[in-house]
Amino acid sequence: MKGAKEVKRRIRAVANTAQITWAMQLVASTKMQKAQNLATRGRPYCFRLAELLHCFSEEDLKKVHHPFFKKRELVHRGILLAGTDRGLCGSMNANVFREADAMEGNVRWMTVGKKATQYVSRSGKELLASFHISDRMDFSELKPIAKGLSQAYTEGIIDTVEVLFPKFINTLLQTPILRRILPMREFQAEFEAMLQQEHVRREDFQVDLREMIFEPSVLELLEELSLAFFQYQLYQVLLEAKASEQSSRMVAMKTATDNAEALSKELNLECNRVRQAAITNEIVELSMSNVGTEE
Amino acid sequence: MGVMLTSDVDAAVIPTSNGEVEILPGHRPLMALAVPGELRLRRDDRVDALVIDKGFLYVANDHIVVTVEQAISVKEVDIAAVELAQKRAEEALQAAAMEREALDPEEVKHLEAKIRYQLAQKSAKSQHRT
Repeated sequence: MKGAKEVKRRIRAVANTAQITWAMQLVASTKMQKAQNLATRGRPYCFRLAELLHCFSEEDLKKVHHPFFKKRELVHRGILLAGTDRGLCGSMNANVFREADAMEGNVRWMTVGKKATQYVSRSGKELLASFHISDRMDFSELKPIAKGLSQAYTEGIIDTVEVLFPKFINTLLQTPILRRILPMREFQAEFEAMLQQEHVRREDFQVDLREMIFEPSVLELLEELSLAFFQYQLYQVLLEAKASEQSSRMVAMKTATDNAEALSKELNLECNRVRQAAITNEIVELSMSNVGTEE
Repeated sequence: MGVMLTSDVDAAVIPTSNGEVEILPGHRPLMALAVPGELRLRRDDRVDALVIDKGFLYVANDHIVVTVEQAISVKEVDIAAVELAQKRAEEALQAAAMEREALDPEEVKHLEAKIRYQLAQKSAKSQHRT
């Protein structure tokens, strides 16, 4: 049997761990609230832009010469993988990377977050670029990412822009989702898929069957709209990934704290048992020696 | 970010690239480029004014959706803060103009839009004060 001293030492160690994970849980939970707010508040903006793009017919889209709308042969898929910078956030990264393993075709990878970069380079995949984004999630931080992606796409280094990211559903649930952002061809199908992924009802969108007026012109609107939609969709995806990260970390730290507390309780019982055993032993020895002298 | 305002109105005036547009009930479906300026909402006899940044205007089914990068209620416009932001944007623009080679047209466009948004805030505020 272990000595009482040994058990006490372990109790102290476990209590220390619990304190650290508790502090990390608190930090993550404030960050989580902010990130979740940003993510959920940004969603309507993207839908509205999608709704606008939805108004254009395939005929209109064919007339645009912007590279975002050009149909071309698919040689290299470009996938942006959204991971985290730090670990200790449960199985979220692993879940996303498992999806990444299952990707088919000739993929060129781009990453956000150190963990994603490590994963791509360790698994021997082709890494095109890696980006960084802080916890503040300023829109300006997105600029280099958007620029890098659209440049690679326009120059033909990649023929699609897709994003694989953990979508924030609620604090306990984040699911890896692959979304195609470029090219914006066959937009109707993409739009339906997006609505389904986001659980938006069709009725929330305004449909008017009368002929629509476009000002100043279809082409100018499409150009502005496609750029805005591209940027905000990327931004939204990264906001979702951040919200997922903070939620996942909060939950992971909460589980760790709970485990540590349970373990500490168990050890406390063990400690009491050891002490009681020692006392009983002493009493037995005393009475035995008493019996010995009486005889 | 987020939904700033949802309300029922009798009429709305929105600044677009083709000038101000007034939307009344029964308007034809319309999509237009919204530009920095003052957006006015009329309900009964009250007029609410907002300053908007660039974005999009969408009218369908007697619903008006204005999707913009930024918006602020005229009452909340803080002239001092606006002037500071404007000065900063203008300085950045000048600095960009100095070093011609590094001039990124997108960045310049962005800064100019910022300045226009700030000018719109100022003019809206001064109009509503008098």
